[in-house]
Amino acid sequence: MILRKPLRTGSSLMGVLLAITLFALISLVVIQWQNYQQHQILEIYQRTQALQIAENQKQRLVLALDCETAIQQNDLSFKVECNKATQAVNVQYPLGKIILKNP
Amino acid sequence: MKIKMKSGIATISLLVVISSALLLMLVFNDSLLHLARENVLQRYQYLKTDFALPPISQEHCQKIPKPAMKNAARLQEFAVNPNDEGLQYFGYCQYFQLFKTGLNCQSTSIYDVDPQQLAHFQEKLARHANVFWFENDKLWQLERDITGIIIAQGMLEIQGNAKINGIILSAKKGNISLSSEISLFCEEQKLQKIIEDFQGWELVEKSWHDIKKAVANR
Repeated sequence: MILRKPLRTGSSLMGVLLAITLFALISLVVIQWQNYQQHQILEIYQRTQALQIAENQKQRLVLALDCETAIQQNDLSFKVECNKATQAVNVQYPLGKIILKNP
Repeated sequence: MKIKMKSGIATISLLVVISSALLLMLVFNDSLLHLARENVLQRYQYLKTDFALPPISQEHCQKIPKPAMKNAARLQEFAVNPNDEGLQYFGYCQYFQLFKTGLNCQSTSIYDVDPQQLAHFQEKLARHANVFWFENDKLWQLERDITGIIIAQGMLEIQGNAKINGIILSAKKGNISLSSEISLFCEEQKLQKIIEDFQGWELVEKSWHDIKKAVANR
């Protein structure tokens, strides 16, 4: 007489499956988005440094000095190409490239 | 059945809470990233303008017309801003002139050299093929016909068998003697072309600035 109602110790199988599926979907979206943001962070980090390098190299050109060809900083390698005649500076960083030239 | 429904709603609402918290965090991160990206872009834009403007300011001076009057302003301020992007450069153009205005084929008189102008053109004078500058006494043996302006600051004796197309000027205590075999004539057009090489507007050194200076009322 005490156990008149059967004790429910959990949800049904369908309920659990639905919850797992939803959770998986949400985590997938979150992970994707996070990856994208991570990529953006890296890009910003590298580009900021590349811009600084480009500015420095341009200043070197103004002073009629030779450009450096490769720069290693913060575990990143930057490739620099300068053209003295056209006063153009290209800086290549792992995720992209900065092109500066006179119009 | 009733209890089962309730437990399902609890699970879903828990998921909704978790996911909205995550989304909120990501959106917040995204706005921060957006700001940082904007910063980088702004910097790139600035660098690009900074690249383009100095050469433009160099050319700017060459476009100013020749001063009409003798005492026209020798200094002009200018501003360059090609795309109206907020960044502006200013500078001064100065008019340089080595030869006095009005120099022509008839001039032979003593030519006073402005030391300041001379210092400015010194480098160009050394390279120029049509101006012959003699600072010291010299005996000049001419072997070919020449075109140009000859300036003597000391005693200059020209010998040889050649034609000179141009004028001879003496500066300071200059004294010139020509041997009889040398014929001297002058074409106005060619002379003026040489003179024009030594006058014009140029960007004044160190006059470049990117903040507009307040000009006091005169």
